[in-house]
Amino acid sequence: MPDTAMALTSNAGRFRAFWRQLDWPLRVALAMLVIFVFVAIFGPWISPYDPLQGSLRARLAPPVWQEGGSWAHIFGTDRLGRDILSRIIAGARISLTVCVIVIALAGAVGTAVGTAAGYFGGWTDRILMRLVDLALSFPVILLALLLGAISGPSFTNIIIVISLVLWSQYARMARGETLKIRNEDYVDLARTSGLSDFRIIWRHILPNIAPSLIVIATLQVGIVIVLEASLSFLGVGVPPPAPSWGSMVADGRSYITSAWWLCMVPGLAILFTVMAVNLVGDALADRINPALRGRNI
Amino acid sequence: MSEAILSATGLGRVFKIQHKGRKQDLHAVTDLDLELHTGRTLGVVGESGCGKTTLNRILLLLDTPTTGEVWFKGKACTTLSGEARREFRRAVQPVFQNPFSSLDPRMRVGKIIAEPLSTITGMSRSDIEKRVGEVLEAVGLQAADARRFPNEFSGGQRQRIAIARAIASKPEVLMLDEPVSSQDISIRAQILNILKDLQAEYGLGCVFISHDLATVRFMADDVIVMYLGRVIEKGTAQAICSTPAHPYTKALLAAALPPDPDAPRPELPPQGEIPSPLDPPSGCPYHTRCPLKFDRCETVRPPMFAAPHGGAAACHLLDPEIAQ
Amino acid sequence: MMTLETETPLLEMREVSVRLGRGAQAPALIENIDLKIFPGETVGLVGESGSGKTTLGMALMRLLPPLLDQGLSGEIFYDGEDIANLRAGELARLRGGEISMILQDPMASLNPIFSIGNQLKEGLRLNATAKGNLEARAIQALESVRIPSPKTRLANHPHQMSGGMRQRVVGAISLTRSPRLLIADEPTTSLDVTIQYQFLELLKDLQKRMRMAMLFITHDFGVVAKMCDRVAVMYAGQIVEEGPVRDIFNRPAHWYTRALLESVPTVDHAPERLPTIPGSPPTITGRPRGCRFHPRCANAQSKCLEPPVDVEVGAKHHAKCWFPLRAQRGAA
Repeated sequence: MPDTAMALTSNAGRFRAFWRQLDWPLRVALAMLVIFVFVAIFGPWISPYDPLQGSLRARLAPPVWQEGGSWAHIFGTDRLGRDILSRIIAGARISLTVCVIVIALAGAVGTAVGTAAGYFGGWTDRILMRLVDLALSFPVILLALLLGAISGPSFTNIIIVISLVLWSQYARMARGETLKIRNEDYVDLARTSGLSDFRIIWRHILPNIAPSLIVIATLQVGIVIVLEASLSFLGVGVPPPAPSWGSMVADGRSYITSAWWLCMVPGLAILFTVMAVNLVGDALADRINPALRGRNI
Repeated sequence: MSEAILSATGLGRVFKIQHKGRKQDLHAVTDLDLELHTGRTLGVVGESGCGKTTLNRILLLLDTPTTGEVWFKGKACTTLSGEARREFRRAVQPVFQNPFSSLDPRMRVGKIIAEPLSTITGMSRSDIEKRVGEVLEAVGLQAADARRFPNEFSGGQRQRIAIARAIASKPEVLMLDEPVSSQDISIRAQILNILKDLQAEYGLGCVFISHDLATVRFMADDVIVMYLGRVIEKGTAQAICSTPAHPYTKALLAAALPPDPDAPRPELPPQGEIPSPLDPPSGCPYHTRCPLKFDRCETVRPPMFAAPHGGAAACHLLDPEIAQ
Repeated sequence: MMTLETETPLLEMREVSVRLGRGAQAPALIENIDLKIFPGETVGLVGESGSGKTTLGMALMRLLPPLLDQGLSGEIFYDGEDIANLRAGELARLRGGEISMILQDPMASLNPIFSIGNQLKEGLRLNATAKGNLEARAIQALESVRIPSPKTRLANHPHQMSGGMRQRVVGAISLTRSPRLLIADEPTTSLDVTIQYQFLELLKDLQKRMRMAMLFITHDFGVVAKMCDRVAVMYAGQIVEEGPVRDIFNRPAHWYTRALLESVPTVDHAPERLPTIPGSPPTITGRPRGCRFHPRCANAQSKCLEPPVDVEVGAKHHAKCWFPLRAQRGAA
């Protein structure tokens, strides 16, 4: 099939051209992000051990570069003898799942609220934006602890809590961008063509505010990972024995003097992933914003 | 003359705005009447703050008047609903000033032009495609341009696309709000000719809004001159541009600089600032700038008097009692 | 204003080009510009968007953005001194002092957070020859641009004034140091027509009193006719015709100038259709070879594929055209 071959080479060419524009930190960040997503998706097939099964004989084994470490457990094992590498791999999947669900949920709600507020204005705007203010002034950790105390740690809780914190960012951005687009003549023209408000939002507003929202979503990936880890660390997040990075840090806390790698390895996983995500998000923001602003260059 | 296709009676629009910490009324349009007939062009002339943009939005049913009514083919527009409103949307189409703002950058040209057609029932996909091609050719572009995006076109071409869109639904009225003032001079004449040709070909009624008397003279049959939300003079385009009766119209005419270095100095050159519509002068709204004003102008607002050119103007000097 | 043959120009541009890059083949925003401005005269620079008229103004102020400034070539003499090779520090002496500028958007020239008085006094303070009470001089400056009740206006901030008032303040600031050359780049485009008229009258009056030279950049032939002594018409980065204002309007030699003049509607009469120029101005990278105007010209011939030379068509009136028009406009 010559056609597909053509498409492939042109895609490869485009990728190469794109890659060449990036500076090295961005290349590293992008590579790490790809690894993160790959590991999260294909974790069960590449994981050397079952992340939930340990052997007490091998408990608290040090990582390979420490004295007494072995290649059998590259990052060592925890107090129940579970392989830390396998748990990190499984944790990536949890982080990614939480990210996807939270960003989809918060994004949908926030965008709907913000777009409606910006488009309709007046009382709709005032009420919806008070709601956003309310969400921003919410004590998150308190709410998480409360929910945790009532129903115990659960996956659903963590999604609800993080979404409650994050949707307001989309709402604010969506409102601001909608206000800008709303004043463009093509929105008035659509109204003089008899399009309904819903169709105008769908056809004209959403496609034009999408780039800014995508930037927020990218930057939020980091926040979600940190929040999930923090909540899991506090014991109100992903319930044990699921290997969330946050609960792994919490688990290792009591061994910090004797087996520091229990905290260090998942901590570094969080650090590197979030940094990579933020670097990529910033680059994306830089790339998209001038395109929005620089109309009359 | 036949019944007007689009008209307005006693139109007024008051905006409640917050100014310097207190609520104030902004009278954007006050007590305005106009009539537009099929096949004719009505020019609306005025400077910033005269209410011409608000008038345009009201006539397009994008804004509701505080008082008065817009009439379309004899029907009151504020109460139009369902089928009648859809018919109005099909029949009255605008072209705005800035073709960079009036075309959605994320839509292909074909889709932009087809948008007014989407509310017309009974048009198949191929009908729509055919119509898009037709109107693109009618404004001097090619049918194949429908597949391109707006940013691939120059300002003049974009305005042609906006015009193609406006005529796609076979409208009866075009609302033209400064359609050439953001264009380069060599493009202006092209756009003006296209508009005039289309108007003649389809027998459209046009409202042509502009600050520039020269383009209005070229495009319009009849003219109303607006100042601070009110009509202060009306008449044929020829009368307004050759023998204006109101001192403000004379000032506008003087300010329309002719491309002639030996043009004589105007007898009534413009002076003074345009007052804020938030704080309009008492009596005649123009008295603060009028070189001919007398006592009465400061206290009594002049009604429309018959002017020598056959139209009418709101100036005390035309009052038959004072003229004696 | 008549200029004597013996008088030396205040400003002279010789073969000035601004290219996107250093090579001679790099696309040019403006190309081989020769222009003289004599003391006390007003030269109009007319052209459409993309013709390079603003670039020309910026080039002779040496205010081009660094990337473009690198692509500047040619000689610019100001009062006999070549300023094309000056450094930034030396230019500052000229910029606010002897050469001044008024831009299209007055808001861009005024700082929104300082009062008018503050900004005026800053300009006055820099003036070494200014003596006496700053306050009094600031009031005087506002009076000179006919701003009513100047004393109370000093405390105003830019946003408290109308567009016309702001532009007068900009005028007052740029005139505080009695410049010898004023570059006005579309100073009235953002103003209402009746306000524009008054600002132009004011500018003309001030120019006469201060005997300063002016380069007036505009796209509006009406403004040119009112303001200018001499006119240079720009098209696609070149000056295609230059001459005394009456010659340009009554006896245009370049086909572009004539076509443009004819396409402007007037209040005097309404023809059925306006004469038009087909197509649109070329982009910087898409400029045709030979005569830049030939694809749109009614009289294009094969000769026009070669770059035309500047022909003398009258006294101090020349055009870049192989087949210049010689007849009175409207006579043929």
